[in-house]
Amino acid sequence: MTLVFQQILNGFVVGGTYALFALGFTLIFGVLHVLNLAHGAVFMWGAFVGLFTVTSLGLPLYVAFIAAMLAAGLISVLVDLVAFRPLRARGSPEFAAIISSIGVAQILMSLAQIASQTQVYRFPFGTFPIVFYNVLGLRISLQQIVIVASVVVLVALLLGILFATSFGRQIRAVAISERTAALLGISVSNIHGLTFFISGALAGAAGVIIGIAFNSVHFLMGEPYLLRGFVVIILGGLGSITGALAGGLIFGMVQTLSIAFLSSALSDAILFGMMFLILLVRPSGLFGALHRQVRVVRQ
Amino acid sequence: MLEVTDLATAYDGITALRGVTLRVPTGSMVAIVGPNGAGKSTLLNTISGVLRPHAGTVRFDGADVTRLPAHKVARLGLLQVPEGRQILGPLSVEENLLLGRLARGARAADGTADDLDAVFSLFPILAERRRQEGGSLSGGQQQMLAIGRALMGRPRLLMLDEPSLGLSPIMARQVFDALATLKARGQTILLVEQNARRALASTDFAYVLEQGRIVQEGPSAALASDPRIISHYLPETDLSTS
Ligand SMILES: Nc1ncnc2c1ncn2[C@@H]1O[C@H](COP(=O)(O)OP(=O)(O)O)[C@@H](O)[C@H]1O
Ligand SMILES: [Mg+2]
Repeated sequence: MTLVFQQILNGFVVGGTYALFALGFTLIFGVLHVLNLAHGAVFMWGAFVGLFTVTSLGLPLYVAFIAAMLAAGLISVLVDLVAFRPLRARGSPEFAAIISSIGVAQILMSLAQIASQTQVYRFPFGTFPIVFYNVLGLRISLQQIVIVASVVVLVALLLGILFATSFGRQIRAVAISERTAALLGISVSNIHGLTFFISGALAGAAGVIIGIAFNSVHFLMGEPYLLRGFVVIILGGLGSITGALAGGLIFGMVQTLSIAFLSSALSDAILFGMMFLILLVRPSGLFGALHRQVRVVRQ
Repeated sequence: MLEVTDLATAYDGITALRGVTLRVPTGSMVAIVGPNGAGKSTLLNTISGVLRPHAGTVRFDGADVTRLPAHKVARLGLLQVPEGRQILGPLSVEENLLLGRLARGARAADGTADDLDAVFSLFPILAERRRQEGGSLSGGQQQMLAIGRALMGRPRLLMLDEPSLGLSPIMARQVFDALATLKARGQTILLVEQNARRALASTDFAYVLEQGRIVQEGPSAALASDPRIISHYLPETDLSTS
């Protein structure tokens, strides 16, 4: 029984990182109504920036964390400028934006491949102190505690920005109606840029956390996360903030539990099966209708 | 204050405005009346920068604003209350109002609380409902919210697109009373209305728009007694609702 709880705990931590990744993904969908398939590449670049800040610059981890968030945020804005804005200006269909974001993702990955010489990098030993605690018979690492704490802080920050600042109000206004927002004096393209920045910063944070947790940073690391992020936001409801959170946690737990008690080969089948099931019975996602006020998607 | 000259706008090649010329002097209240599909909303949206004209100019306070993007037009104080009110439904009444303040831009950065109070004293129901979702209000209350939201931006020219559309006669009267109050305070207003009787009764000057063209213009009182206007736009049945 302790083993089950241990796995649930581990799944919760992993799920938190999925949630972090998925939040930025769902935010862009909620506001711009497009899927940013370069989100995984932005995440990967965040991990690299965090890694190089530690290894090449010798700076402490928290600096690396902030650097990764800023850099990934800016790269994400670049993705908007290159992949999305020109198409929007021409009024191209949303499908075109999906294709062009795949293109930008490929470019970002090629650049990372060149910069990393196709190697897998690790954070140097001792970057994160290895400490374990025993709580009620469960083994909890300091790393897990810090991961959960960072996810909680970042989610609180995101919610604070969205629901308690003027910028957040403007983001939600643009998500609901671009024309009305513009008539109110809101620069829709600036708000899009801001949305991409926030989304990228969250991906950058997720990149560093996952790079440390799995002690591996490489140019392809974004791809599996993009796919998982996709499942997560479909589970939770496209554009839903609470949905991304809950979807991430569910995904992490189901994955961890099925790897621990069934087989790792089956875990993907179970997760994608779950996605198909949701698409069949509740295409709007688990949290589609429940959290209308937290949902940032266009009505 | 507003000078529109030979303005022409098309949707994918289909012309909706064919050379519209009109002016709104500072402090006046001007009406544009005309049947459904005449191009009234197209005209306001072209002035607002939501639509691009293919010919003509829009000048606001002497400055050419013809091809300015909508948010910049709004920030100059040329504010539109769009057709159908366009309340941001999931946002609270207060959030809708606070968003309206953005249009004020650099013109006057201070005094949010005062402006909220001013809107609440014009529309007390909004103060009672300030924490509710905008989308939960009745049609008339949403219209008040839309007008209040525009007022938060301290409009130099307030343009309203069919503010009485879909409202009960009582609600429509309340909205028109509010407009009269604003006019008395010196607010410059451009009012688009299908309900010609009410529009002509509350404005100084009016233009009649038909099929994208101004077909008649003159002081509102004069138009209201013009037999041609009466037969086209002021049918008997209108009496019961006004
Ligand atoms: N988005 C649009 N696309 C194509 N045609 C439009 C669009 N909006 C309006 N129109 C056409 O333009 C003309 C004027 O419409 P509109 O400005 O909405 O008239 P009004 O506001 O006076 O009722 C109508 O013939 C209408 O069918
Ligand atoms: Mg109209």
